[in-house]
Amino acid sequence: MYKYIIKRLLMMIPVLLGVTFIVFFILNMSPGDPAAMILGDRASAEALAMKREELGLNDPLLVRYFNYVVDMLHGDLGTSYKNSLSVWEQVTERFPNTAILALCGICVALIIGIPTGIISAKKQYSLMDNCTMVVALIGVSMPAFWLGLLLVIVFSLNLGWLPSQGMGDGGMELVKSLILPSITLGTMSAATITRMTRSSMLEVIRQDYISTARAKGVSEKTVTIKHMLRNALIPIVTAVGLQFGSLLGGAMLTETVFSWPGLGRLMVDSIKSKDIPLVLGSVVFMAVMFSVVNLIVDIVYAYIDPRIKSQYKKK
Amino acid sequence: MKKDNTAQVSGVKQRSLWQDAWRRFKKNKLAMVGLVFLAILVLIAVGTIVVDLVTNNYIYENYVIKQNLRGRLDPPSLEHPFGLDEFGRDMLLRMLWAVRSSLFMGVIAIIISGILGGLLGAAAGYYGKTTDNVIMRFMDILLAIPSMLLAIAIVAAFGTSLVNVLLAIGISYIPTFARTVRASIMTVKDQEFVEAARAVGANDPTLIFKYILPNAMAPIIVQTTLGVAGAILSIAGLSFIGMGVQPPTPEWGSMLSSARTYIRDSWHITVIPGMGIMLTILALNVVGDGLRDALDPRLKN
Repeated sequence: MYKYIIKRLLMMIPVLLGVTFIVFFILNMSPGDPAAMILGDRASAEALAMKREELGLNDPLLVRYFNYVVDMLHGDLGTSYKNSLSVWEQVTERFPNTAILALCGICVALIIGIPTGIISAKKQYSLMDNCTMVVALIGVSMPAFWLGLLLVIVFSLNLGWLPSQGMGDGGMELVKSLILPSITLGTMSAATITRMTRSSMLEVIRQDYISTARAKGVSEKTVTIKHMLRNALIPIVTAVGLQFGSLLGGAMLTETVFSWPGLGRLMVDSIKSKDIPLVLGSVVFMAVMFSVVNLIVDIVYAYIDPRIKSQYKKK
Repeated sequence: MKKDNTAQVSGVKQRSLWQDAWRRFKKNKLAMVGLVFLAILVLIAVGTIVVDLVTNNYIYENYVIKQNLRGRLDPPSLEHPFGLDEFGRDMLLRMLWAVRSSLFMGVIAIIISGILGGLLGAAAGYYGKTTDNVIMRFMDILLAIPSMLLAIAIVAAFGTSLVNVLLAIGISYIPTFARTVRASIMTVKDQEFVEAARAVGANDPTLIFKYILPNAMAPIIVQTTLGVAGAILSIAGLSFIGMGVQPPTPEWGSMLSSARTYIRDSWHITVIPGMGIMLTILALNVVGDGLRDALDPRLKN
């Protein structure tokens, strides 16, 4: 097992280098002089030249990229143009808020998605199945940020049950402020996971070993969970992993709707103020987090399906 | 070409693969409703363009964009079925004029990614080995950046012009297409008819575009429909955070963005544009599902 994890970790390195390079490359192509942005319009030509030298802007792109990666490995993502604060500190300060939101979103998605998917598959073409599928179809078609706005109108403005903005401080306040954003973020994933669970359960539901298990007197509950679900789980886990990526992207929209102080908001604000190091830092950070989640998903595979693990042992 | 003998003997009218698929598609009522809805959207999009050309932008400038501070945020009424927005503009007109941004931008973005991703995927699937490895590792890297993030990085770097938004969305969908095309090419490329064509002396581009691709089209078509849905959602999302289509151009995402400011005052300017996005995406998803079932009945459960 350790060998497998280490192998996967090693495979992650080139992908991460590629990801950082692409994002670095794109953001460094942006027109506009960072030195002028820091010093303002009235700076003298000499001051600008000095600042450019100081920022290393005269070096070739590859050299700058190399320096960036070396700094990054030391936990240094540069300093923000606007307020000269460390990008690393700003990003790590905001990230936990996004992580809480994303985790709650994925929980909403799993709690709704997997049970409804299973029930739908077991009662295929029943009224319940048809209704679920229609709701799931609407769910995947609804822009999350719109759902967020609708929830705010109903639950915050009309009923006044839950806060519409910001993140509550500790305990009940935090939980209350998390409910609407988590539902907003999780609904589309819930719908996708429901559809995925249903179709992947249907693939295994008519297999011979299911009949065998029933014939030898295994209870229906055990058949469903141990025999069907376990075999249907691989595509579901893949879907969950991919959903996490769109969740991180969707967090930007959800955080904008609810003024949630997360990394997504930081990114949107930094794009608006053209603070390139901050944009770069937060995009790279999110991409790294996404790769880590994918790694975890791959490791979970090996636990669910011993065949995958044994594949890696042979090599 | 001469008709197939068996078909003549049994007296059954010969049908091509596409006609067969269309027959199956027609039976799917939900998908047909979706298709009709999409057709209406295309008509609206083209219609508004024609109206703009004929009236020399008169309606666009005086009713769709021009602010009219009397009657701001009026709820739906007989005179204005969708109500008025925060600047007193008729919501129905703005909704109609917004169709073309979403629809055409979504389609163009997917054409960009379809062509680029398709070529890369075709090369990877057809040549295999090193070519495949290099291209697909590059795609893995692109795929490791959530598509919304990639789009945002591109728009952040180059600004929020229409072309940049299209490129951003287009590029972020390249890996999906490359994967789909590669996979479907690999299933077809070793079949006998390809070998036969090669034996006759067809060169690589002819083989790929004339023999392999037409026979590997089904998953690509499905992917395109779903891709347009995704692209429209992404464009609306980008516009919502102020990085896509800019006001006063009517676009559903940016309409929602300005509606957010007035969310305490009126509900209709929030509900209506979202409905537009949702119904469009719903129609595309339903048609995509229908196409998948019609083109590849094995996948249906």
